[in-house]
Amino acid sequence: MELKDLKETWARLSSRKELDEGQLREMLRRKTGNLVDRIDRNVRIGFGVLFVFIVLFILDDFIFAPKLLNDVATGIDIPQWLMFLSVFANVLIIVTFVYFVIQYYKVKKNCDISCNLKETLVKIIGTLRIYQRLFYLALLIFSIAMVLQFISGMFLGAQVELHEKDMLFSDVAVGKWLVLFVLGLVVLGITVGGIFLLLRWGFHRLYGNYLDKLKQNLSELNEIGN
Amino acid sequence: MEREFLQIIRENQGIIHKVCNMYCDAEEDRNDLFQEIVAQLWKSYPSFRKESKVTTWMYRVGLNTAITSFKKNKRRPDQNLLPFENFEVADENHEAETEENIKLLHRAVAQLTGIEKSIILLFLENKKYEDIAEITGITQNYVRVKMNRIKKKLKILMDKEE
Repeated sequence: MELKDLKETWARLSSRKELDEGQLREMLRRKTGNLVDRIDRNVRIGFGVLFVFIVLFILDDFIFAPKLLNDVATGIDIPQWLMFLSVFANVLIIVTFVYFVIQYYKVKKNCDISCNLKETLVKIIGTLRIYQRLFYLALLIFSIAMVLQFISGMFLGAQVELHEKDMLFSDVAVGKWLVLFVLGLVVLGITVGGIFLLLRWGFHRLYGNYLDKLKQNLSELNEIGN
Repeated sequence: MEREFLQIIRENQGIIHKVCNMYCDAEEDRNDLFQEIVAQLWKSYPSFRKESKVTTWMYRVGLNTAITSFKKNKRRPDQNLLPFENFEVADENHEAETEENIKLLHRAVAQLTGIEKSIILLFLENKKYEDIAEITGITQNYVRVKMNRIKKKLKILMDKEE
């Protein structure tokens, strides 16, 4: 068949399958499993969940923890530097979270499914990237919370212990503090590193091929454009 | 609005069938994609301001949906691998020859990339380069460049198959 016959061959085809209005209406009633719509919904749920956790962490730092400390150990106050660290961390988390939400809505308002192919690919890749980074953001938030809880827990626990034994911080050997610090770092490194690798592996397994296919299509369009 | 939308789809459903047959081999995949395209058309219908032609809008949504669809790896031992069996040949006098050409066309087109399929489909549907550029988001010049490359590729593929 020559190329000029292509259009002729194509033109001779007419679809056997003609659906009537009833069948089409039935299709509209059925839910589709569109991945991008599901990811979009999951991103919004993720934002809601993270927001709740951020509020809980803030309440814990300023209300629950001081109250608990008062009930458990009298005469022990949360030091200023720890409060400052806590406030700083909360501000960092909130700023990162807000930045994330802005990025998401920027990508979302770009266009809908009726935009041209290039814009649609850019949008979907953007949405997937944000979805992936949402997990990393959650991990970052939990890591910061874990570090703060660990530091404040260790510090206040040590303070209570030393107070009972009528000792000072300077009475404890530097070596012991160092061991504690290194142990804390190792535990944190293993936990956070492990979760990060697990998230990365999981995301790649679920969506890796799909994302590669989208990027390949976009790169083909950009290559033509260049 | 639903009535109006369904009428448009019913009158132009051939477009959706052609997109599905271009991008899917198995019948179950074609049915899934058809439903997905109809759902996405319905979703974007409220914002369709009729600034472009209905057919251009349908091609845009159909191709976007087909190219960005997420396919799980399903094993189907009895899948129908000749999508053009869903089409009948309009010309009965040359049915045998045309059917052979259809199979040749299908085998060649199956080896094109997703983007190449979209461009060749629009070309075969007699869309102007201007419309193809609007739908894909590339310039008209580059539609021409890509079209030439696709034609050369198809020629090689079809010569190999014959």
